[in-house]
Amino acid sequence: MAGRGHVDVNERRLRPIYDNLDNGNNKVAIQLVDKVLKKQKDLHCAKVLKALALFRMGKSNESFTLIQEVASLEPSDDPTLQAMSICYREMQKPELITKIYESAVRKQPSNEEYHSHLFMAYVRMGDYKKQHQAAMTLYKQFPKNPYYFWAVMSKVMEAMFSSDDTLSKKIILPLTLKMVEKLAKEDKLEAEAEVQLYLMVLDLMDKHEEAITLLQGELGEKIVSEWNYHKYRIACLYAKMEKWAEANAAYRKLLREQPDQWSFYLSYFKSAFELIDSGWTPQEDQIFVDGPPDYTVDSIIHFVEDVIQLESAKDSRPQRGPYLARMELFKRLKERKNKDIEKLGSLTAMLLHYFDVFGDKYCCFGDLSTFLADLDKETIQSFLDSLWKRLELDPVDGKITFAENEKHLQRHVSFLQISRFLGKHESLSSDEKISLSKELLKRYHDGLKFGADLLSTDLLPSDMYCLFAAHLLLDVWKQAGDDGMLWRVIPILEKGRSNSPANHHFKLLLIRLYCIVGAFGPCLQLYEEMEIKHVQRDTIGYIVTRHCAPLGHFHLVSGVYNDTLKFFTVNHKDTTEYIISAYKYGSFPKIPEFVKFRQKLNNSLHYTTITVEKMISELLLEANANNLKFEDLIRYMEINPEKDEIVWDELSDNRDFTLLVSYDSEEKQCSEEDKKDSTEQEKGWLKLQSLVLRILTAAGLLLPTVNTNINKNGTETPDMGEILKTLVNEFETHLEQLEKNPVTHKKFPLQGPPESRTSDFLNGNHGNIILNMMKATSDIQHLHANGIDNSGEVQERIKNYLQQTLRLLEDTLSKNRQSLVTEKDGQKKLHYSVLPNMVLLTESIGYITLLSGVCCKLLKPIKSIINKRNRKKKEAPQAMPAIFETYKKFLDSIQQFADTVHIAVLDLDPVFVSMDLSQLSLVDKETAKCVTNRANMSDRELESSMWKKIEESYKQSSQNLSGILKQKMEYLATLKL
Amino acid sequence: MTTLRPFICDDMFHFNNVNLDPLTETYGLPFYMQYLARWPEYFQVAESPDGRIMGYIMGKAEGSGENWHGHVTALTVAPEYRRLGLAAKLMEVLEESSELKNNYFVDLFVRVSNKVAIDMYKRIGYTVYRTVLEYYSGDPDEDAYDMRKALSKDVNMKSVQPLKDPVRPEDIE
Repeated sequence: MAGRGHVDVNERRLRPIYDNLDNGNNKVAIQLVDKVLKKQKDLHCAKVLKALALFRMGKSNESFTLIQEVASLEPSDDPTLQAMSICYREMQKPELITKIYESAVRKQPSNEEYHSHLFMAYVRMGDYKKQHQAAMTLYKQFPKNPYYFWAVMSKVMEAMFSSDDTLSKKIILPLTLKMVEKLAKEDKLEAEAEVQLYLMVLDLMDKHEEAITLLQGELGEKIVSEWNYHKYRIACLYAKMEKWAEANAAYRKLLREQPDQWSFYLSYFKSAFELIDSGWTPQEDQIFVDGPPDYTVDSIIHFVEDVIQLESAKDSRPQRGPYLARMELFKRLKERKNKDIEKLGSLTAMLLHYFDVFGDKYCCFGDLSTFLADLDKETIQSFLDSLWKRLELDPVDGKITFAENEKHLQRHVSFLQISRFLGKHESLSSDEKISLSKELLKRYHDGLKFGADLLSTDLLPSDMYCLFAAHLLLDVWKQAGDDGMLWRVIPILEKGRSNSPANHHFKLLLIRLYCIVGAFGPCLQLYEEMEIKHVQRDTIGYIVTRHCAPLGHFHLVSGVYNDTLKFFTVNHKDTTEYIISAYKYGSFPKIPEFVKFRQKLNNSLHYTTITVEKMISELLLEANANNLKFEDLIRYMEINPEKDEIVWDELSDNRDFTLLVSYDSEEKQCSEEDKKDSTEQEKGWLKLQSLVLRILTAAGLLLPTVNTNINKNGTETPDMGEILKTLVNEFETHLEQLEKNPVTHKKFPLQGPPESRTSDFLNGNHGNIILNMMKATSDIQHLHANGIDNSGEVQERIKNYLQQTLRLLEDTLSKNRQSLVTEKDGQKKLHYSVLPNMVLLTESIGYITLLSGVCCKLLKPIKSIINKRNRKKKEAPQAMPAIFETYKKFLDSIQQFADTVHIAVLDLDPVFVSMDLSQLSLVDKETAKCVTNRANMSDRELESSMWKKIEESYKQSSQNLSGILKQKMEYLATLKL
Repeated sequence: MTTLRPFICDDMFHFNNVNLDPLTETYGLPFYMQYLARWPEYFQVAESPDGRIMGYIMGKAEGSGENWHGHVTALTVAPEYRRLGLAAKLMEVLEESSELKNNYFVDLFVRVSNKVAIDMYKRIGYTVYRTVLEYYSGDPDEDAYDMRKALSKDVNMKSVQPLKDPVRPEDIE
């Protein structure tokens, strides 16, 4: 081994290479490496850095060959190993990192750092058993506590993530506990983290008594970094052990100190009612350090009243907890039909009192909503009347009385939220709704003065009026099906948005409405204004990804999809490092949390869907265009049609459905069931798409490729014809299941999740359309593989499938073909369902075109065989089988059909300028003309701006569809037998 | 009524109502995970009874010697839960954690224009220690106040003696 001086020389030589890599100058880095290698051939590290630069330039094959060349030499110097780790990590090949450190520790068994790197490498892999071994090896050689506890934690992970629960509980965990106890007995436990881990093991084994003893003992004193940790934990352990008397006293004591901590109230009530239900009474000689627990309703009431008393006597601002706890107690007593409930007074009185104290807070409604449901029907009106009286907003001389200040306004908003939630808006007639909406808009304009000196990043107090006005009009739209209302609501929301650019509620609802009317155009900007990024791509991203392609904005699709996918791939690579960090810093409880979080992201339903949608859109837009053959593109995409890569049971729907606010009554809100059903709908759609993708792939792989570069590794090719057949069957079964499932066509509340595309897809019969084409392809493959002789029956079947495909297509077109705008009784109507249906039709034509190409190429060799045969034996030439004529006819018809759709699509390019709906204007003429927003637009201008946006969006969709169809027609024209 | 508890990874799936606020930055996952892995007790969340996230505080312990201190990296409360004293409560938790770690003081940076926040910090005992020039990039760049509160370990309140001259971001230790 060279001396220190040599190392320094190497370091000096490599430094500029590292710098260039850091700055993204990969080419320069490579040049420098080559220079260094001329002087010093065997400088492994330089080679690895070159591999890294190559990889970053996208030359992954070349890069991999180079790094493996170094790996085969089993290097054991630190810089090389480090560089290799970085490189493998970027290549997403963590398994190879374990390989290099395995050989490194073999060569230098006393190198502590390499052993520790090996442990980390196993952590990256999630190989808990090997982690444990590596940590124990480390500890034996270098007896330091952290290593021992790495080993313990590895065991815990093995137990937690094992599929065999009995094995975990009966063997792994007891073993793990023994490991910890051994060190504890030897008095060797040092750090807080070690005691934490001890507690974690006890918790997993439900040994709560032991945990309490531990916490109260000397070792418990080591836990110092969390405030009140012992008290919380012990109370929680008593509850887990169902020692309700102790738990109750513990939580009561905690509540005295922190009367706003909601989770404590829940545990306090739970324990108290458990005591009541079990008829618990204290035994004579029982001693309670903190006084006997509350085991009667009286004592609970007494406690709660006492906390309220103390709270109201304080000078500081009152906390909400005690007041809400009293209502929670009411709720629980009511559920139990307990007579003592009277002692609490009436719910109405409590609600009114709460409103008096907290009505001017935005959270007032949210706080009360769970208790409002307990109001008796007959008391609702008088409750609302009392609230209204308190507001002092009665009109004077027929004129609206406006809120005097911001707090007053907020109290009114709380009132509106409560009364809407209690069904008061539902029961209004359409006219009453419209008139209330007009009033709220006036209040909105007036209330804008309260936001005059706020920053542009603040929400305006008046915003809620605007949102309420919109919600009321949307009620009219939904109930009466009056689209005119939609055209009123959008400009109102646009106004709200321009006045209050920080308020995302306007933007979210606008995106929803624009998508409903078929205009994706304005959505991306709205989305980008909210600066949605990172994990939000998973939780919020669906609001745009769901609509971008289905509304024909194909020119944005790849950008939108790529942004989404980038988050997931980058995250997957980066987040393992923090699992490693958690081991290093002894944050053991975080380790399973991180692992589960990564799983949820990696199995994200949204992620999986976008992955599939992206590939489908690439096939649709790029295959057989620009000299890129379908069969080559398929091979570049490296999809294995045989294997379903999606782990259906593990899919995690991380979409956030709480984004759009709703103050509707409970039964009209998006329910847990709606959420579950939406997940099911999306999974159903994903399965459809994934089968389409696999079927197209299998079809593409039927064709040979001349491009030898991508026809790699000579492994035995499976029988694609069989795979295709199986997949087509699976597709058919899935279609049947979707048709039968009532969830497929379920609609959700406006503020809930958007419906999946499946319903429109099935209603347009697209499943059967492409199914017939798939079956035709599969049978043509059969002819191709088994020869044409004696295949009359198969040929007849193919003919049927092809005719059926055409017939169904024509049916669907005739059902969906409609002018975008119609006029009836002087009222114009925009038919916004036309566009999504045209997009579906275009997509189906796209799939059919791809399969037509495959069929054509499969038929060709059959024809040439017959031609050849006929040339040889001249006397009795074989008649051309009917299939060729059938297919030719089909090609002609499908081209004609595509042409018809193309004309229909061009009709989508609209002229809305004529859509004057101003006779319905909601604002009176004076306000219509005056400027009431920061964008300096009058209401009339906002309205025409909306039409312009929608018009442009439709124009764009029409152009995109036209482009796709033209390209398909051009391709079809090249198909000749 | 609030439940204060440690922030967990899953909270990232639910913090949209907080993070859609334009002044609340949504960071990449590594950023949050780095804090969770190293300083889990400095990362707390306030949750409403219906499970909505009301706000959260994210911080760390750093520095050496008498500069060993708690630092507030992010403190945010969703618009609908403002004016309830929630930010002060979250600060209290972080201060308690810092006390337990024997930190000398707690510090934080705030935009000089954010009057509401500055007033709140002053109410709970923070003072301006120094001004950091052009700390927030944007158009134009904005200065920050470095505000501090001494903890019981800093008996003589040395850490909060204000500096006269402003500093540049690159000069912050």
